[in-house]
Amino acid sequence: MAHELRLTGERLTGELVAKVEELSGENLYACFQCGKCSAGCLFADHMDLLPSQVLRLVQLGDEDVLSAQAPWVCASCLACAVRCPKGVDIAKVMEAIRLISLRKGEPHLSPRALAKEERLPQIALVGAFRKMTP
Amino acid sequence: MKRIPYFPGCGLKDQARGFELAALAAMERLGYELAELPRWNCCGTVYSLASDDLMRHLAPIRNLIRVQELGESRLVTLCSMCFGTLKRSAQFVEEDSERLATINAFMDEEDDYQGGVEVLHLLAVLRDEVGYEAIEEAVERPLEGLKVAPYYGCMLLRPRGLGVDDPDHPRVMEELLSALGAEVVDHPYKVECCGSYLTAGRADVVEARVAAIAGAAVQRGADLIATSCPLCQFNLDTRLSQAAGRRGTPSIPSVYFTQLLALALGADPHLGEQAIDPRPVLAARGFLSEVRG
Amino acid sequence: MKPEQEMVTVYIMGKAYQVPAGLTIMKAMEYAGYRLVRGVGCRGGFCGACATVYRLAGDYRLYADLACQTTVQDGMYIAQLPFTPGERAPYRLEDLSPEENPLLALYPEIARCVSCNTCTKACPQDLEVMDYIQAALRGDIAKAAELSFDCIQCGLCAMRCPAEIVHYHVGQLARRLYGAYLAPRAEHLAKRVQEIEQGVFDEELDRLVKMGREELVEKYRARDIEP
Repeated sequence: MAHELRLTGERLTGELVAKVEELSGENLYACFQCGKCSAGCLFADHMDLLPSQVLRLVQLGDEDVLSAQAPWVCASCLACAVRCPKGVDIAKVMEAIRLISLRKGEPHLSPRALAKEERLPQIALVGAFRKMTP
Repeated sequence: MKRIPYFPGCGLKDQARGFELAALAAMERLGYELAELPRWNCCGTVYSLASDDLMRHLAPIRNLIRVQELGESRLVTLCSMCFGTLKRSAQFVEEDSERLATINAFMDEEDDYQGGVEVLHLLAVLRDEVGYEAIEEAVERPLEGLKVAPYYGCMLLRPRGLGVDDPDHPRVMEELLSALGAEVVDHPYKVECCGSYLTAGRADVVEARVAAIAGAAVQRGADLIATSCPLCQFNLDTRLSQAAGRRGTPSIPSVYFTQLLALALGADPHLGEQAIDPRPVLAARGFLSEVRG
Repeated sequence: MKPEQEMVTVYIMGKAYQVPAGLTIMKAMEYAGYRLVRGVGCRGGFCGACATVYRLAGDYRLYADLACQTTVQDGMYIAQLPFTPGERAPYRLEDLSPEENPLLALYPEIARCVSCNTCTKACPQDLEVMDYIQAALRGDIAKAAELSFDCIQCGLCAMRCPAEIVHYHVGQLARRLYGAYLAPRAEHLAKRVQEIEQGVFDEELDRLVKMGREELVEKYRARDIEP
């Protein structure tokens, strides 16, 4: 997802960074882009951005990160969180990005359509609905 | 008979009944009654990772209030997801009294949660309270010759400090399986996620995960995978069977650790309908006829 | 109305009205000049048509109740809900299997319940609404049917739910499933129907039909009366 971004001071002190930091409770600038989270992420194969790239875009205040698919492929397994040498819980950053979308009322899963397809355990439905429906 | 308040969770009343029934039967043999919490509600399955999402903590905290109402201070779970959610929410309000005050004010129809309820996973109770020696003594039918690959998944171990064991090098399931006489098959994917709730909507992602996990277990000669979570179990059973059909992925049955415990203690393991049936391999190793008779 | 009658001030849809104390919300609205077409039904607390929300002066809470069953209070802010939108899932009862948790299959949004209990607080029938949704989630149809038995489908739970569940449809399906599949069959009834079909009572019935008036009265007076 190579693209151009005009870096400005406003971006770094802008709303996106503040919002993600507030929702996640994490210090985004503690991340020095070592990539351990991406190396250990079991779902990176299916992501359009690697976890470390998601974090980088947020650091830079790039709103394009909000339309990335990566946070919706994250399964909140916390493998990244226990590996980060800087103690950044990147799973919380992913959650923050999901919530920014969900709190605008945007659905990322349709319960009725899903239930028509097959019978899923409660635990799968409750988990997926909490993570992907507004 | 010792009594511990017990939180089943939705799955254990439905497709994961065997997980619960085997645990109740096995624990009774060990002198423990798992006493189902009255009026429990769904734990919420996934712990909210947001700093401000207090609404998502109502479900777990309401369950802790039920424990408090019993005059008890402990709650044991079987499901890893319930364990993670209840334990982390308990911690979330424990570390900030303002959060707790807000949640208590919202739940004005309940007594205030005072804090202090300890959430335990059955694996930790077996290790720390019952003890492997007592378990070994109670074994009637050692699982000799049965090769079991333990599978922890995520919420049993992560985040660091809140899980039942070291998130990188857990031993609790290995030790239990050894106490039961089984041969433990170590494999590199035992702490790696099965795909969890992505199974709702992204079955393709989950199938790739469980194919890798099962492949590692099969390659190392395991007969069975042992799980502690109905979602891992669903993914390793139903989703694996779907993947195996299409990609020639190795097929291996999964069972709950409580079912192996029950089997070894001479109780009914409550093996039920599964996509990948564990009964043939258990019968081939000579473990089923006696129990079922 | 007598002029000396005690009056209270209520706010209906934001406008102040003086109405006699002791009226129900429904009668107070009619007293104030509203002609109720929707949101009114049996006027006896059974039909569930008159769901109403209100606040009281100096109280943050949003109360929910039936307009025909709730007395006005001074300073009450009232809004009537003429209708609750809520789609009943399409199903044929005979196609469902209670073992496969049709409640969750047809209303998967019950898995969005956060256990906030707002539904229970809103229920004018004092049902444990959250508990029956939780029972439905875990597939306990009998419990969901039992706990929702007195539901009058007023819709207040659904209007208050942050998870957007339509509780009353879930409860109704639970009760239907219970009736169709789980309730114990009345064995004596089946036996009696069989006896009737076999003609066991034909002779007796024939006798009754042909009996004269006097004999019939005498038989009636001498009948067995169960205690």
